[in-house]
Amino acid sequence: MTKEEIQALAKTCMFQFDDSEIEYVNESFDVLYHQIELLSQIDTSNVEAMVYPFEEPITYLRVDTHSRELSKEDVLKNAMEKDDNYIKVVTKVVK
Amino acid sequence: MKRSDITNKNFKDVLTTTIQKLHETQPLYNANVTICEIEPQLQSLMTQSESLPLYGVGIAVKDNFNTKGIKTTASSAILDNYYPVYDATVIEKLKKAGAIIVSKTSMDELGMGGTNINAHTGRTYHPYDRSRITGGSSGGSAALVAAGIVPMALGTDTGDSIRKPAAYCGIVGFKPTYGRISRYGVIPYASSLDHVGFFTTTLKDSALLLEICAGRDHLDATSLFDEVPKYSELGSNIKGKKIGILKNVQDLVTDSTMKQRFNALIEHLKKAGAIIEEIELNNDLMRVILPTYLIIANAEASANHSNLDGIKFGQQQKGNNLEEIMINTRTLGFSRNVRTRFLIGAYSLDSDNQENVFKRAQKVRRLIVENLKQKMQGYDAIINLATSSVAPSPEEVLKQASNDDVSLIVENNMILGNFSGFPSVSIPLGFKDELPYAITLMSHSKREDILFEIGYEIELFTQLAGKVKGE
Repeated sequence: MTKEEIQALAKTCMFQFDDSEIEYVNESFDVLYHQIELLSQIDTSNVEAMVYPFEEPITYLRVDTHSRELSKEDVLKNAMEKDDNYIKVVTKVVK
Repeated sequence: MKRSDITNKNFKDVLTTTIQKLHETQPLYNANVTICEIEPQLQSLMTQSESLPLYGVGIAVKDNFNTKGIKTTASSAILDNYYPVYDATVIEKLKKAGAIIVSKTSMDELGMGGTNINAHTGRTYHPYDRSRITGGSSGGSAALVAAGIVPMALGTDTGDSIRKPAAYCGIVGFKPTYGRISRYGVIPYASSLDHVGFFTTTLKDSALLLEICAGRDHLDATSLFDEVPKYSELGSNIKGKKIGILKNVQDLVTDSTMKQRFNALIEHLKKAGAIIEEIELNNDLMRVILPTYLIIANAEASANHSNLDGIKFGQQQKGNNLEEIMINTRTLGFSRNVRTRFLIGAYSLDSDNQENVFKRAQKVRRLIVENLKQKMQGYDAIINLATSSVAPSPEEVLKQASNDDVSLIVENNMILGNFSGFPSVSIPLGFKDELPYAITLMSHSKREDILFEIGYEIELFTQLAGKVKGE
C-alpha cells in the first residue's frame, strides 16, 4: 500500500502512523496478503461463515427488571474533563 | 504454592509475604502492572464466612479484567489512568468466594501477542531463565504462579494465551468451554474467540476455580445456561477413556527429550487402562489455522476497541476539535503493533475486501472445526505436546520462520480450542535443560470433567503437581 492509502485507512480507524512506521505497516500487510493467498487455496464454496463457536439460537428474553445502575459520580469519574453533569470535550463548538 | 497450603490461620501471614515478594521480584520478572492494596479487601473479608472456598487466598488477575477501584490498563498506554467503577462478573464471584486480589498482571497490549514483550510496562521475564519469554498474552499471571508467589491467577485465552505461557512456565493452564465463564467486564480482544481461564500449580485448583467462576450470567449473552458440575469432587478416571494422539503435531516435533517423555506418558496411560490411538486432521486446514485466526481476531478487535477514544475514560490527548482529540489520543495511546493490527482488521472488514478476507476466514474456521469434530468422534479427548520447544528467547522468536509447518501447525495447534470453543488444558510434562515443557489435552464442548479425569492420571505420572520454581 502507498503511504497515502495507509493513512487514509488509518483515518477510518481514528489514528495515524508517522513516516518511520510506514515500512513496518507495509511488512505486516505483506504477511496479510500471503495469509489471504493461503486461505484462497481452501475451497469454501457452499460453506457458511462461522461467527461464534456455538450457534444455538437465543429464543429467550431476559426479565426487564432494574438490576444495577451507576451513580453520576461514577459515570464521570474517569473522564479527563467534566463540568457538573457533563463530560467536557472541547471548549468551543460554534466558530 | 497450592490452595491447600493456605489455611484460615495462616492466610494473613501468607498474604503479607506475597505482597512483599511481589515488590521484591518486580525488578526480576516485571510481571505486575499494579501491586494491589489488600487492607480494604481484608476488612471486607472479615464480614464474610471463614468457610468460603477461597477465604483469604491471594490471587493475581490479568490486567484486562475490570476491577472496581483498581487501575486496569490491559497493558496499554491509552488506559494508563483508567479506574473501573465496577467488577467483572468473574471478579465478583472470586471476591464472594473469599479471594483477595494481590496483583494486576502484565500482558501483551490488549491481548494482542503471544510473547508478553508488547506490554506498555515492558516485557515480562521467564521465572526460570530471564533471557527467555514467558509467552503471552497472559505472561504476567503465568510468571507469578510459576515463581511460587501466588497459588492461582486469572488469564484470558483468545488463541492459546493461557495454555502456551503455562506450558512455557511449567504450570497448569486451563481454558474451559466457550461461554462456561462470563466475559462480562473483561476488556476484549476478539469476542468470538475470547475465553476466561486460570493458571494454577495443580489441576485440583483449576477444578476448584472453575466451580467458583462458571455459570450463566445474563450480562454476557454468550454465557452457557448449563448447570455447573461439581468439578472439585472428581478424581482420576482413566480406565476405558479413548484418547487420540494428534499426529499432525507429534510428527513435526523433533526434540528427542520431549518426544521420549511424551511416549513414556502414553505408555503409562495405556497401562492405566486408556485406549490410545493416533488421529490425523486435514493438514491443509491445519496450515491455515494461523492466517484464519489473525484475520478474524484483528477484525473483531478493531471493532471492539473503537470505544477507546479518551473521551469517557482513558488517557486523553489535546486537540482543537473532537476528531482531533480522538485521533491524537488513539495515535499516542496504542503502540505501533496494535495500530497495525487494527488497520489489518479494518482492511479485512472493508466492504471491498470483506467477502474475500473476513468472511472467507470465517468459512475456513467452520471447515477446521467440522474436521476436528469429525475426527474426534468416538474419542474422549486428544493429546499432544503443547509446543515444539521450551520457551524461546525474544531473539529466537524473531528468527522463527513463519511459514514452515512447525510454526504454522505445532505452534498454533491450541487455537483449535478457540475456534471450536472446546475445553483445553496444558499440563507440565517435564524439564529440559531446567526449562519446562507440557502436553495439551482437549475434550468436547462442556466436557471439562474429562480433562480433569485424564489430567489427574497425567499428574500421577509427571509428579509435577504443585511444583514451582525452586521447589
